[in-house]
Amino acid sequence: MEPTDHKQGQVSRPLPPQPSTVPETRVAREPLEAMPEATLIQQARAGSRPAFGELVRRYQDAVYNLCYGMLGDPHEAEDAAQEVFIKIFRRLNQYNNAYRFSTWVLSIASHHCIDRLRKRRIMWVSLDAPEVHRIPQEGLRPEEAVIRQEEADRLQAVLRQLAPDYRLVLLLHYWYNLSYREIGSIMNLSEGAVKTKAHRARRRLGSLLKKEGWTL
Amino acid sequence: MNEHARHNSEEFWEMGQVFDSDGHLTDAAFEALLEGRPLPVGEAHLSGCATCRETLHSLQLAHTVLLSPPWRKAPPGFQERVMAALPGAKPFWQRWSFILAVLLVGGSIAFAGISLAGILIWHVLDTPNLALVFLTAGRVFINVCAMALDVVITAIQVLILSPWVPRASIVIGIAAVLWMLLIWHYRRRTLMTYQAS
Repeated sequence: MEPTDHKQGQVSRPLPPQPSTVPETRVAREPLEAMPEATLIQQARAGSRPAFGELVRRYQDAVYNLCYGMLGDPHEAEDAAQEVFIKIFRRLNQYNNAYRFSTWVLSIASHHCIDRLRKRRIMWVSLDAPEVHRIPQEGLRPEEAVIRQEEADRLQAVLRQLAPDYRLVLLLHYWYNLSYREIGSIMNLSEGAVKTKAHRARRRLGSLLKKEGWTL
Repeated sequence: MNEHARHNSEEFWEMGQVFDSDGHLTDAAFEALLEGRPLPVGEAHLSGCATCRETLHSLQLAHTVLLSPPWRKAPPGFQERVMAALPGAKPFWQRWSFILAVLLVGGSIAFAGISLAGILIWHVLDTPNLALVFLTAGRVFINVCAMALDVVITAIQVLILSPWVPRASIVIGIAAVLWMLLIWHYRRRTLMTYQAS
């Protein structure tokens, strides 16, 4: 597991360099990977698909992890994350530069996951345990990777037992370093209400973890 | 420690902020302890209150576990799949406006052709019977097209797809009415000639 940069308020973690799979256009003179986010947003708004592709590359892990944390199923998380990016593409012109782009992206992802959970409750409830998504853990010995994976799966199983709004508050606060105020703006709640929710969610999660045999 | 330094290192709490009506620590007090902020009254309370100790332990467990999240990478090829699924950028012959324009132009040409054939047959070949067949066919055709067009335009207007659609529908409607008047005139004359013969 990578450590979180909890103090800096950064949403996206440092991503390993990846080769760009999106063809560059003549408009993009400097490499897209090096382009500032604001320029990419501007170009994507003007219709540049490669610029939007770069934004997808930068935020794909963040959005996918939020969807996975909220939905608990890797396939559903992938579908949801894909739908989130299509929504972002359609609504790019509605993005207000006064707010952080990452917060806006996570807001769309959060609402999309909540909608999916609502629909899921109405449509279909799986009686089987969701399939576990095995991810190769880079830089770890095989036995360590297995332990980490099992730990992650156990945590996911406990998180699934929390109410969706509790889960969302905790994920946004701990995994994405969003402030209570930012979470409030996403969930349409006051800062105080988010604090209370976070406290109750932590308390509930703590007792669930204890029940499952977790220790400090 | 002078007063200024004390202000910087400690927070000032009122008793109502530290304890609730049941005498246990409040959410804010737990939050402070969790974050390691100094709260001597709260720390002293913990030594004598098993309930609050238990709560703090639960909170610390959740806090610690959440601080090291199981960060996953998006599945391979995710970016490419998103880019392929993005809307728009269809070739022009797949756009709805192009299809609608082809239907409108094609329908108008077909209607004009049929009715023009009727007029020419009547004038050039001087065979009112055959002209009547063409003009009647033209009339039926334009009625069917007008109904279909009406349905399509209404649907588009309801969906508010494009502001030019209502304007285009007015122009096309006026042209269609003029054509129908012309055809009605010729058909009437053809019919009168046919009845006279």
